[in-house]
Amino acid sequence: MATLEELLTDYIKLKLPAASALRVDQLEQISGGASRQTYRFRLSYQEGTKSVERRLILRRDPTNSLIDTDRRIEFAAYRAFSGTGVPVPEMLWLEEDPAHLGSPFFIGTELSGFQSAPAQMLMEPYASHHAELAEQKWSIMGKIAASDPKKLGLVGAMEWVEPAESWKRELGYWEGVLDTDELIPQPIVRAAIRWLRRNPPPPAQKISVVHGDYRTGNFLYDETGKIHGILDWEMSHLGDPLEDLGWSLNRVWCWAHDDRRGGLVPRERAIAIWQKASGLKADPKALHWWELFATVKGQGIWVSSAHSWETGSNKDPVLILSAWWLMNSQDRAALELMGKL
Amino acid sequence: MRPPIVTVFQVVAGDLLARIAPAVGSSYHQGTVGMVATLLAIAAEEWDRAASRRIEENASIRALFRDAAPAVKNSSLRQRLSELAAGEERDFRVSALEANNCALRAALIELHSHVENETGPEARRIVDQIWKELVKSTERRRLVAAPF
Repeated sequence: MATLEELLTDYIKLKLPAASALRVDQLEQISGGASRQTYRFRLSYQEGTKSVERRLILRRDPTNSLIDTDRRIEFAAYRAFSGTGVPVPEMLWLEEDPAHLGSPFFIGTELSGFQSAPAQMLMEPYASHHAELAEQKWSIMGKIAASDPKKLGLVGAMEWVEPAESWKRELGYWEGVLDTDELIPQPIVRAAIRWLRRNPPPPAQKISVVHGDYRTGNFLYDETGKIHGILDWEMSHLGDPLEDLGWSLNRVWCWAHDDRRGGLVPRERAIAIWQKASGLKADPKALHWWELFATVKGQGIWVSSAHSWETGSNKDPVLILSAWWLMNSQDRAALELMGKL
Repeated sequence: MRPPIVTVFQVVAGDLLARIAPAVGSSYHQGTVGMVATLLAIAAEEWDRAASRRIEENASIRALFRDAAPAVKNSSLRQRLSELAAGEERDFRVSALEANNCALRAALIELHSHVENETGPEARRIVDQIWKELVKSTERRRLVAAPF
């Protein structure tokens, strides 16, 4: 049976027919989000008299993932933001035919030499740069919010939604996930859903690209406090830009076990950075709605990860860890936002 | 069982993190070892309280149902709440306590939704009681290392 390195070599030969002496090596599985298997590898080949060497990333669909997402949308989002000031890796090939590697996948460039782990960020030399990291983190999010999805070519690739409808679509989707995947009753998140339906937010001030999982842990940073890449666009979609802001403020990302959001800065500072960069307003009532929604979405993800592990063939411990570690924090975050803590 | 399960899980988790993970060549598998160690640490924290927190919570919800049922206008829901309130633990295995807990919390969702739509001081009082119980339910489940 052919190894993954051999299968990759055969596939890339099809994509680079003019290349000679093409070789794939140093293949290594890495952590890269819970929805796809992620590998880094080195590609080397001759292009005429020129030797080419590239460090690449393979993202391959597993049989069951934490988040059921469309790889075509993730690939399109990476491509759309390339060269826009939102730092993303370059995407090379999207392949939906499982014949090549056993399941669909895409390949892009590796942004190497940087950190992504939240725990690392809490230690020196990174801990001295939290203000700079926060400035970039919420400024880049603001750029994404300010961008025009039509100009980016993402309308069509992503389903359009009217400004007054985005909250209904998102809430309906995640309530559906809970209905389908809930293993034990969730009285707090159910109460949050009822509150959200009784108190709808105003229509979105614009329809933006929503990254969908924009948080500490999904960007690459260095020891000088510079962000080099925004990753894990697997849940990206069109919607209310406050959705990303609310998600980034979620208490479950308070990695430093204090009030600093994303383990970086106080909530109000994060909002101020985002408003300045996006040119948009974070209306307090609307943002409160999206922060509470983030607890529903979070619980939807943790519930479905537990469900996937318990009922599916994917026994990756990350599926259990996210459920065991975060579900109670997520409930407490909902209680706090509803003024009950 | 001796040594105690809690101690065993804690020590093995620490050993996995401090000794085994650094010796694993691949960073991906190092991460997996770290996750398994964290799962053991969470299991250690949960082990000792697993039965007691369910017994306490089930009794608390039954008391809430006994108090609230007479004020529930929906006769079918009132009947079910009364039946659940009259229940008691007969099997003290965690799986059996959990099954009772799930039945009680499912009914608690129904009661909460029902009284939210009612007006009057009695409905408000029951809603307040439910929120107090839900806050306590998260305290019972809190983990030392959780982010919030």
